[in-house]
Amino acid sequence: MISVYALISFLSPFLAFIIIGFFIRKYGKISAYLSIICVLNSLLFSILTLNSLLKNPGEYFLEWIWLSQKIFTFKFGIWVDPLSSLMLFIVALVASMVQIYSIGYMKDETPPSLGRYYAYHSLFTFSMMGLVLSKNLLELFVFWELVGLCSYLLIGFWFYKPSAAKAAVKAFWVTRFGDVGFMIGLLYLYKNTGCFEIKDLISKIPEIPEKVIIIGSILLFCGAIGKSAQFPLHIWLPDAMEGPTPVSALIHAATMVAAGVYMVVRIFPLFSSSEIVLGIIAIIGAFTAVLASAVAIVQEDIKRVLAYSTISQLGYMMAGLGSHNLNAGFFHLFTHAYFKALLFLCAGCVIHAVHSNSIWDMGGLFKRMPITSISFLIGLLALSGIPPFSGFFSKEEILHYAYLSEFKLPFYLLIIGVFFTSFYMARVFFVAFLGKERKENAKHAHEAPYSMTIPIIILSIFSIFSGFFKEEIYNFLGEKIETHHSLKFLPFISLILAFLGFFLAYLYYYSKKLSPEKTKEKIFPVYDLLYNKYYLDHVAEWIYSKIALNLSFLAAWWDRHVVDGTVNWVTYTTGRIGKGLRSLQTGIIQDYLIYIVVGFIIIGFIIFQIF
Amino acid sequence: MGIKGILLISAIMFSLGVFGVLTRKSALGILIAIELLFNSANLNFAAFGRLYGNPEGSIFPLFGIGITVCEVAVGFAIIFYLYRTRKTTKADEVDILKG
Repeated sequence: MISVYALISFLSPFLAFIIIGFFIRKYGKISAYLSIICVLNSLLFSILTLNSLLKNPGEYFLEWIWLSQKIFTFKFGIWVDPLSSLMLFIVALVASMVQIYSIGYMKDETPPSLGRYYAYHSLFTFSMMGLVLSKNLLELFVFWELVGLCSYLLIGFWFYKPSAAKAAVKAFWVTRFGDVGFMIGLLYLYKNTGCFEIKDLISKIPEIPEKVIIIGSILLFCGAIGKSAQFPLHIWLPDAMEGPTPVSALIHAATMVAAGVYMVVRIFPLFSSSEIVLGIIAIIGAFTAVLASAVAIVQEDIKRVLAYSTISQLGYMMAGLGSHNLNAGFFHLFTHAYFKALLFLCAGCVIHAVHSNSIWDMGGLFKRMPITSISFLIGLLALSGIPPFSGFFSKEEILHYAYLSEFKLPFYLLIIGVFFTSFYMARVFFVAFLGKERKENAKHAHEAPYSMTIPIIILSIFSIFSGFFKEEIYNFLGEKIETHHSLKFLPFISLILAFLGFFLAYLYYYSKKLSPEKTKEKIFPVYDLLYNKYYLDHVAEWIYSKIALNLSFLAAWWDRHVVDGTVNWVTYTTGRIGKGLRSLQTGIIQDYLIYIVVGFIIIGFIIFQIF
Repeated sequence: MGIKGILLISAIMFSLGVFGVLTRKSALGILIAIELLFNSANLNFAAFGRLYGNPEGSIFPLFGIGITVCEVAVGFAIIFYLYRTRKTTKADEVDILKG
């Protein structure tokens, strides 16, 4: 029964996608309401799944044979356990909030365009749920690519803007770069273990040689680097902000970018059976966390600040996983999904009101948009890890385990990241929401309609309270809670750093005791490096234009001259032979008769073996 | 005359028929040459029928002659139609199926 609930939850957005995509796309409003009804149905059934799983703990399966051959059988199925049901709930909740919000945000779209938007949204929700419920790695990979496709379609939703089209293609390419690693890892593990099923793979771990585990899991982690925007493949995520803001909230903050983290959590025994792999994960995560949060300090576009913040928080999750703790990473995913979606939706309200993305065009919005501003503040405090908001609990958990692990470098990086995080968030708040209006538009800003504020309020509630469920979630996921008496000082260190960040931002951007411009001049090389995002985009461009493009030219030459050449030669020769034989076809009946007679004579010679 | 003589005559008739079919320019000539081919075959039937004392050998040529009549009728019809549309009965002038 439980798996049927999950199945209904999983298939109902697909139904919406089919109906909208094939039949009623022209009627924007109807498509929107249908999509919302289906996703709310999904939410209802995901709550039912979660509820009945709480009453009857265990694991539930549904399975069909997908492809059956003599040597192998691929199965397609869903796997409902505490982890996947919790993730299913996160996806359904954030997706339904975002879809309701989109009615207000996308109200200026033409009806066919709105229908297209909701069709993509439904497809995304379906694929993400499929990814969450996947029973084997092959199925996971299929949905992994499907969410990538939806991300591409939604980033490029306003495809007539060249920047959006470029960003969509960039996101597709960069994530594909990681996905190739994922696919090779998948096949490599299959070749060496003979199974795609996650459960079988995990139970076989003691038999697998260490070399296979290290290579296989690093290759799988490549996929997570691409999808979860870890250093150095994070460059696609800030550009992905070209898409509509609700899309950024759903796909590029709460769910799809967490897919990499989820994948690592799902096959965590594989990763955790090798110290080297975990070390790599921790180091990449911690580096990403601190580098991205430093870049966020100098960004001017509110959505880009949040994008870099997402990258940095995903780094925290990875670092949490890397320091031997599955639950800390997943718990941060759980709380982050709410407060980051909340921050993005608030940013969407602000952009909607001011018609600009730059924080320097805003200012003084607190008076004009109280609900949005207070919600933004809640998200900010949760993100900066201030108690009692949810981010505090999950971030402390990660810092705690990072501190306990033998390898201390990630811990120091993460604790610096805490300072940067509070600084850049406070900067956005002081510049955009307090102070004087800087542009004419900001003076005419007004509160968003109810369809936009209600989802924000619901997400605010989750952002405040989801942190309190730490013990319940840990119990649910089946992990013993370790009380950490010895480390009472850790929260104080991170709190002091966070308040230091707030205070510094206050001095720079509110009381104007310190001037940002003067500091900028003093540390210009650092500023320049941050402003240009460590020149990683230039490096990527160089790789693309010098290496990838030349390789493609080579491949194109090979294709045109060798592959096509062979095909053309075959057709040309056939044509020449045909032309030669054409002269036999004279149209005169007596010539044909001669051929018949000569043919009979030759056959006669052969039959009677006269030669 | 023994079987050998009859088969020789039949062979000569067949060869003449083939020669005629391949060399005559007139469509009517080709049709007449085809008659020679048919009749050489009929002659063989009759000859072998008499040799083995089998009546079927003598009956079969009757069918052969019947079919030949039909074939000649169809052939003449084609030639008439050809003459009506193309104003010719020469076989080598009719080559619009040339490839």
